[in-house]
Amino acid sequence: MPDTNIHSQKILILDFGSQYTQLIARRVRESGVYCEIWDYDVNPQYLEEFSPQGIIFSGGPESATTTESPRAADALYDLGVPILGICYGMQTMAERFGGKVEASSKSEFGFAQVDVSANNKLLDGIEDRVTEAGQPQLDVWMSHGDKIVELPTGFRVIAATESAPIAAMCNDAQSLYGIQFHPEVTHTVQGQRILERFVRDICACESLWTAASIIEDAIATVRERVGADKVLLGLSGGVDSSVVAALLQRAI
Amino acid sequence: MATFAKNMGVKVIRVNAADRFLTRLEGVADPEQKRKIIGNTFIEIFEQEAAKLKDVNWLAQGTIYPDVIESAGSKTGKAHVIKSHHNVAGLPDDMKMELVEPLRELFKDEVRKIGLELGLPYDMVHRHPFPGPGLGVRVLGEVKKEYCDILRLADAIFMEELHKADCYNKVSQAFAVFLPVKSVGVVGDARRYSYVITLRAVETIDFMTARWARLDPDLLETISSRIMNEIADVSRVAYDISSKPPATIEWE
Repeated sequence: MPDTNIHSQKILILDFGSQYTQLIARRVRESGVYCEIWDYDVNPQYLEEFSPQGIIFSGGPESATTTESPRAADALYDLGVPILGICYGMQTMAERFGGKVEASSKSEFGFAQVDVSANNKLLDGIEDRVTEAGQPQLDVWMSHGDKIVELPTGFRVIAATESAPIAAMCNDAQSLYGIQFHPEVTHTVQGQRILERFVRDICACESLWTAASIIEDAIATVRERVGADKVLLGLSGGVDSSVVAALLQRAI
Repeated sequence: MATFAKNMGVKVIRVNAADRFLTRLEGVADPEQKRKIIGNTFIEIFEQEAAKLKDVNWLAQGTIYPDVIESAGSKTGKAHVIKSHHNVAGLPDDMKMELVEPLRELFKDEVRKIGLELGLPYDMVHRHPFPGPGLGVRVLGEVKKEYCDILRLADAIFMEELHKADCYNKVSQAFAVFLPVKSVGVVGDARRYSYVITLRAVETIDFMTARWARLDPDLLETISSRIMNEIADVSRVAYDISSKPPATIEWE
């Protein structure tokens, strides 16, 4: 195996059914950190083995205002690692700690301007502009009907929009963060920086997931499994099978 | 294929199994059933070929992470089966070879990155995705040799003109679709009653959402007149202006 285990630094993405979940994973990978996507109701016994340095809750199509809607198991919060909740993920986090989510009379879909209203580890120094009054602002992509109307215990507001006064929140002591907007879509200009801040700084993941190290790891894994055996590959001429062929050729 | 055999020292065996696929697909119009048949036939041929070789115990596949997530999702019953993937689903349980899938943790853009890093040519790495079941899902309804031949000719013209206009790398995916319906045309003084070809070109970052490509109307005209002039069995060419969602990129 290579000297450094490129899977040693990792983030868990809990999927609540958002159409953007894979985008979150790709942004995390672009930050140089391995991550996996798990279904929200995955058996918590797998958690300890996977042992992520941080967790991201995706958005989702359901409403956090109903009790039947999907929730993260308490075991995830009990791990004690930083958690970032996005959209629906943030709303379920709020409900978990006694906050309140309500269906909003005004849904927000599309571009929005967010005022970063208090210093915090997630967004400090990341902004699209600072107003004359010294107010840092972010241009973000919103896609929600419900919104948080009461802050959960132990949390404070860190960003607001006109129609969503709690557009981002955090619990510093437990390293829990929630953002109503979607940092994973390219319409949120600073989205990559925000996710990178969470993964690299807040979760303290090292950047080991690079093209060169992925190749090294794949070659080592193939060698270990296959040894001196012969391998048959279906070569369609497409990208995936061509890359497999090139990898196998290097490995054996 | 020749590239691999020549430049990389990979031993390439070509099996022409067109008749076997076509015979099994006779009379089958249901897309899911077509995919299953193609997947199973593919694996079967692989096993037979492997049996001819000595000591081949491993089958390599270009399964990538989104395939894994999708099939895992369908196992828990949480996600609807949108399409069963050739790479994962349809594998018989009694498969005699063990699988090696060195890309199963990677997203498509990561596969491209390591492909370049491994020294594969740019054009190969940036080829548009091609569905596992091949033209089987681009000939709508029942697959016949005659239909595949027409489709191949039309697709080749489409690709050639896209390359000429320097548009191939500007769209994310482009292909022709064969519609088994007949439409009336006029050629000289004669009436022609033959098939319809649809052109599909999309722009997307992640293949989860896609916008139909705004190809230059003059380019579209060149392509459509070439297809209708050069292929006697096509009397009409249409351009697909559906985005995803709600439409999917492939037609089946």
